[in-house]
Amino acid sequence: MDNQNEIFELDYHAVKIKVQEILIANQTVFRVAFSDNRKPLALVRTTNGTSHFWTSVPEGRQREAEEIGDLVANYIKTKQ
Amino acid sequence: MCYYNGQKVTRAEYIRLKQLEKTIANYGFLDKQLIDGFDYGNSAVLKPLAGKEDFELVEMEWGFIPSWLKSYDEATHMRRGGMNPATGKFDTPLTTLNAIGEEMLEKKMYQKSAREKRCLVLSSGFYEWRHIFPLNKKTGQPLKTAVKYPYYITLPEKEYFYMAGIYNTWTDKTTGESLDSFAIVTTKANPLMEEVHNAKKRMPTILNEELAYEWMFGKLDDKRITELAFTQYPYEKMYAYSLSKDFKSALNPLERVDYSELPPINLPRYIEEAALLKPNPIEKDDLRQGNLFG
Repeated sequence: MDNQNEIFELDYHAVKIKVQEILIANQTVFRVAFSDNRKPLALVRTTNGTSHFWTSVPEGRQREAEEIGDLVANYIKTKQ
Repeated sequence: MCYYNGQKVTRAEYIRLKQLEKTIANYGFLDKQLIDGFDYGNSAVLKPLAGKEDFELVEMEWGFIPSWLKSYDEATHMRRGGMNPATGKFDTPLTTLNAIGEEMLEKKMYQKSAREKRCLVLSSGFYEWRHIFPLNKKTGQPLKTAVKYPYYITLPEKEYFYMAGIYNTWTDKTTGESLDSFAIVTTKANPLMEEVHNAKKRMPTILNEELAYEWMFGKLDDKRITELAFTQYPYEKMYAYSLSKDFKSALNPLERVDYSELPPINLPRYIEEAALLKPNPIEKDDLRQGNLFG
């Protein structure tokens, strides 16, 4: 990985998640690890040309991506 | 417009996300600063998946192997040349690192691949030699032998960019093994590359995201294939700087080296912008794939 930042913890539907911002090939990706048995999730911001939203990479976990993405955005805003 | 994860995204975003997907899965795969074409090694290539608007990020051998060769020994002979035991004659080496965009559809070797097997070669920059003819101190006339200065050419706004490629899935008839190999499509040099690669005045066909998508996924007729192959990336968005003459063996081959005898690149707009577009400092573990052309 290019760069690894601090890990922060959030609550997602009563499940503890650990989030780490990682720079991969000059692109920011958030790696999410769950305290239950779910597989880790990679989140990125994307655009449809008019607005921006969160998505998972690879595809398949859009709902989690949007919900956790909003939590991550709130955490970063609050931190600043 | 395309769909990723059931959501509408732009074409450029689609290709970025798909690439990121593969990068995450294959991390470490691109950790090469310098790829010398004449080593005929592997490079990272985006290879389309049949029947889908999706691709694999794979390693392919740089140096197109035509279908009619029967064994890898024959491929090596084609590349190196040498005495042909069957004919008793000396065969000259045939370099297939690059496919000339203007001739690609006329050449038996490349025709089918240009129509059916187009790919994208990932690059973070490429190398070319600038030929300067020193003046004879007595006569003031240029000497006949040029001094060659290596240059590194990048797109400062892009960490990675796409070169048009064509590939062939070749089967070694003596072993049954299959191997994907590719050639980078080249076009006429833009004004910057005319100055840098001043001996041949050629450059790789660099495609922006929209054109890259079309090159890889589009159902293209010969006219459109040729148009895309002729694409000249705008020189104002490129940056070139000189390197050490022994950069191939240097610890950091991308370190800038200036030469007092080397005339500046004579493009006013480019020179103005170049001051703002300094190349990023290179970290030791930076992920780069530079392509060294012949």
